[in-house]
Amino acid sequence: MEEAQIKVTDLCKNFKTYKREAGFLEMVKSFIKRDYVIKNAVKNINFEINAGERVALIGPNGAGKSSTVKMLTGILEPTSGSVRVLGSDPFKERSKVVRNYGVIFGQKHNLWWDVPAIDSYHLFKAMYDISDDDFRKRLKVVRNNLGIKDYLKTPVRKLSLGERMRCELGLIFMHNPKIVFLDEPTIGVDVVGKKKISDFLLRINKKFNTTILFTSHDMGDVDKICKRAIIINEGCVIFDGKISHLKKEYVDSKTLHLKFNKPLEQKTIFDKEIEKIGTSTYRLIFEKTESVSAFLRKVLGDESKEVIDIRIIEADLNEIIRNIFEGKT
Amino acid sequence: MSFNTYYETVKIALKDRMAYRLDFLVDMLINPFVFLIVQFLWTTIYAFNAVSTIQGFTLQETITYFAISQIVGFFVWTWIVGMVGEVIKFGDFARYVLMPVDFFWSMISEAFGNKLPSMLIKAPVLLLLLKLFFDIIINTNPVYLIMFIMSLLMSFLLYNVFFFIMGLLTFWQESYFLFELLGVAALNFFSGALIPLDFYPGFMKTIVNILPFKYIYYSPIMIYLEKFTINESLSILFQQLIAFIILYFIAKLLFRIGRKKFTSQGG
Amino acid sequence: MSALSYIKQQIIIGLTSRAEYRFSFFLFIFLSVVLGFLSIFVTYAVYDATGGGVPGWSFYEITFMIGVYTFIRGIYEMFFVIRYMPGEIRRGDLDMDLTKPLNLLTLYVRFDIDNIGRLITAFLMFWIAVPNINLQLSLFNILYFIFLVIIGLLAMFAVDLFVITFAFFVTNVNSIQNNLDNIRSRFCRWPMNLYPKSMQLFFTFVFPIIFIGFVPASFFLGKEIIFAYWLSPIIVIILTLLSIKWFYYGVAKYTGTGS
Repeated sequence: MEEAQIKVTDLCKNFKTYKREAGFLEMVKSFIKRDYVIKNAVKNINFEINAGERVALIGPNGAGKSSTVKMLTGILEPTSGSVRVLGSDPFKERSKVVRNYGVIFGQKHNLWWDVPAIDSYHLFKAMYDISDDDFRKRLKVVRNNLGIKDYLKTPVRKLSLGERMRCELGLIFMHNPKIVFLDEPTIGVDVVGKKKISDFLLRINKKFNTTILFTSHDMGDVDKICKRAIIINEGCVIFDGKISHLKKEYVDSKTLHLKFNKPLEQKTIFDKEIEKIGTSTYRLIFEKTESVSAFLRKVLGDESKEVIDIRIIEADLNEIIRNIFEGKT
Repeated sequence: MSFNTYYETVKIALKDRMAYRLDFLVDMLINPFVFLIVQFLWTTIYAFNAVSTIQGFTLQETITYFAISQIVGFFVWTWIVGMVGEVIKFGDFARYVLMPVDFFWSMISEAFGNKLPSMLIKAPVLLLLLKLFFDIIINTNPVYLIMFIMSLLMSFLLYNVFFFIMGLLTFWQESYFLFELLGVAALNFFSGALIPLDFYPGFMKTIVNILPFKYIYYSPIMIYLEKFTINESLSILFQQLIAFIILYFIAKLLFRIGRKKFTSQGG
Repeated sequence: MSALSYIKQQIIIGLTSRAEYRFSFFLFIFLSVVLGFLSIFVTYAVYDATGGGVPGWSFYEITFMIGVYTFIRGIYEMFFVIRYMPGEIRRGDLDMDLTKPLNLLTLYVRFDIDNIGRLITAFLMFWIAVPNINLQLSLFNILYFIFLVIIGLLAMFAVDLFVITFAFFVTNVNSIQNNLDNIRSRFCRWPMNLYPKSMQLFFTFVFPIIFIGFVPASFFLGKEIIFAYWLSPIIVIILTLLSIKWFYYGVAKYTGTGS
C-alpha cells in the first residue's frame, strides 16, 4: 500500500511563555529576571492524510491547531515526534517540500498591496518556475472559475475583501500545488464569493487530486468542502473521521418543526413539550433514544390537529462542534 | 474631568513604553558611542586649526552642545506625525469627535506619556554617562537649570505641535511620509540639532533667525550653556511660548478645515 | 527559479507601486535629495567657520567620500530590503515568507525605487567634488575603485544582516536598528583617519563600516589607510560569511520557538 501523503506521528510542541506582570514593581523586577511557564501546545498527535483528501482541521483558538499547521508547513520545528509530507520532513527540507504547497493564512497576504494582482501572479510565475504555457492555461481556469477577470488589473488595495481573497486563492493554484493549506480563507467574504470559492476548491480537488487542508470556524464552509474532520482540542486529536459520521454519532438530539393549520392552545402534544416559533409553527426536540417516526404517526393520525408542514432539522455542525468543545460529549 | 482623561492617557502611553525594556536600555546605553565621534572630531578640529574658540565656543562648550542636543532629542522626539497621520488616514478621528476630548491635547498627552521615561530616565542617565567618559559641562546653577527644563518642555510642545500640523496635512494627501520627511528636513536644517547655529555661514544665519525651529533645539541648549543672560533667557522662554501659541492656532484652524473637507466627502 | 525573471518582476512591481502616487513620489525624491545634502552642509559650515576643517582632507574630498557612502547605501537599499524584516517578524508575516520555495534572503531582493533620491544625491555630490579633487586616474585605479565599492556593498550587507538578526531574539529591535544606523551614518560622514587606531580597527574588523565609503574614497584619492588595501576583500568576505551564519542561527531559533 502506498504511504500516506501526510503522516504525523507522536507530534509534540512545547512553548515557553513569559509572564507579563501588570504592576509597576513587577515591571521593574522583570527587567532582571523573567518568569516563564511551559505550555504543551501539541500533545502527541497522530494522523495520516492521503492524496486528494479534503480535510477540515477544527479546534478552538489556542488549541494547538495553528501550531500543528505550522509544523506541517515547515515553519515551526517540532519538539518531538515526526512529520512526513511527500516522503520528506517539511522542516528539514523546507524549500523542497514547500514547492508543492499552496498556502493561505487568513489575514496575511501573498499579494502585493499597491500593485494589480496580476503582477503578483507574474512574480509567482518566476518564483515557482511556471512555464509560459502552464501559466496561461491556469490563469484562464482561475479567472473564469473564480470570476476575477476584472479584478486582476486593479491595485489590490482597492479590492474588497471578497475580491481580494479570490485573487489570493487563484494565485496559490498557479503552480498546481499538491497540497493546499487554507486557514480562514472565507472570513469576511460575501455569500456569492464564498460559493465561488467552494465550487472552485471542489473542482480543483476533483480534477487534480489536490489535497485540501481547511481550517475554519465557518462550519457551513467546512461542511460544503470537506469530507473528513480532525478535531483538535487542548493539544490532542479528539476526533478524526468523516463529517457525516460526526453528524450521526455526535448529535444527541433531533429537531422537528411542525406547522399546523391553526395555533394550538396546549403546551404539549402527546406529552412532548412544544415551543412556539411562529403563529402556528412549533419546535420539538427529540433525544437520541426517542423515535421521531413513532411520534409523527401519532400526530398525523390525530384528527383534532391538521399538520400542514413538517421539517426535520439537520444536525447543525456548529452546534455539534460547540458541544464537543464544551465537553458535552 | 478632561484633565483626568489626559492623565490616564499619559499613564497608558507610559506603560506601553515600559514594555519595551531592551529597546529602552539599548537606546540609553548605545548613545554614548555616537559621542566618540563628537569628541574626536572636534578635538581634532580645534587642534588642527589651532584655535581655542570657534564662533565664541570653546571645545568644551562645543562638545557640551552636542551632548545637550542629545538630551533635547530625548525630550522632544515623538512619532506624533505618524499617530495623527494614521488616525486621519483610517478616518479614526470619529472617535475623537464623539468623546469629550480635544484631538490635539489627546495626541499631545499620548506623546508626552511616551516620552516620560525618556525624559525622566534616559536623559539624566545619558548625561551622567557622558560626564563620566567625556569632558562636558554640567550646569549646576539652579536658576539656569530651571529655565533650561522649562525651555525643554516648551521645545517638546513646539516640536509636537509642528509635527501635529505636518500630520494634519494627511487630510490633503494620503501618505504622511512626505510630510514627515519635510518636517525632519526643516528641523535638521534649521533647529540647531546638528551643529550650533552660530557656526552657520552668514546667509543661513538670517534664514534661521526668522524661522521658529531654532526654539526647538538651539534655545534650550544655549540656555544650558549660559550663553544668554538671565533676562535674555526669560525672553527666549517667552518667545517659545508665543511661537507655540501661534502654531497651536494654525493647528486648530487646519484641523477644522481638514475635518470639514473630510466629512463633506463622506468617509 | 529564473533569477532574471524574478528580479525583472520585482522591478516592475517596484515601479508600478509608485505609479499612482506620482506627484508625492517626485516630491519625496526631491526632499530626500535636499535632506541628503544636510551632511555636506554641515561639512561646509565647519570648513567655513574654521578655515582648515579636518587634517588631511579638503571640503571637496570629504564631499566625494560622502558621495561614495551615499551611493553605496542607495544601491544597497534599493535592491535589498532586509531592513524591513524585523517589522515582518513583529507582525507575524515572516511565516508567509517561510512558505515560499525561495531562500529567505532571496525573498528580500526587491526594487525600492524611493532610493533613487540617494543615487541622485550621490551623483550631485560627485558633480560638485570631482572637479576640485585629485583623483588618481588610471585604468587600474578606476577598476579597483569600482571593486572596492562593490566590497563596500558587501560590507553594508554584512552589517545590515548582523543588526536585523537581533529581531529573531528580541521582539522590538527598533532601538538597536536605529542606534546602529545612527552610528553608521555618523561615522561614515567624516574621514575615519581622525579617530584613534583602536577605533579604526574596530570599524574594520568588528563593525566593518570603514569600507562603506571611506576605503574606496581614500583609495581613489591616493590616501593611506591603516591596513593594506588588498586586504579589504578578504576581511569583508570573512565578516559576511560570519554574518550569514549568525543570520541563519537566528532563523533556526525563530522556527524552533515559534512566535
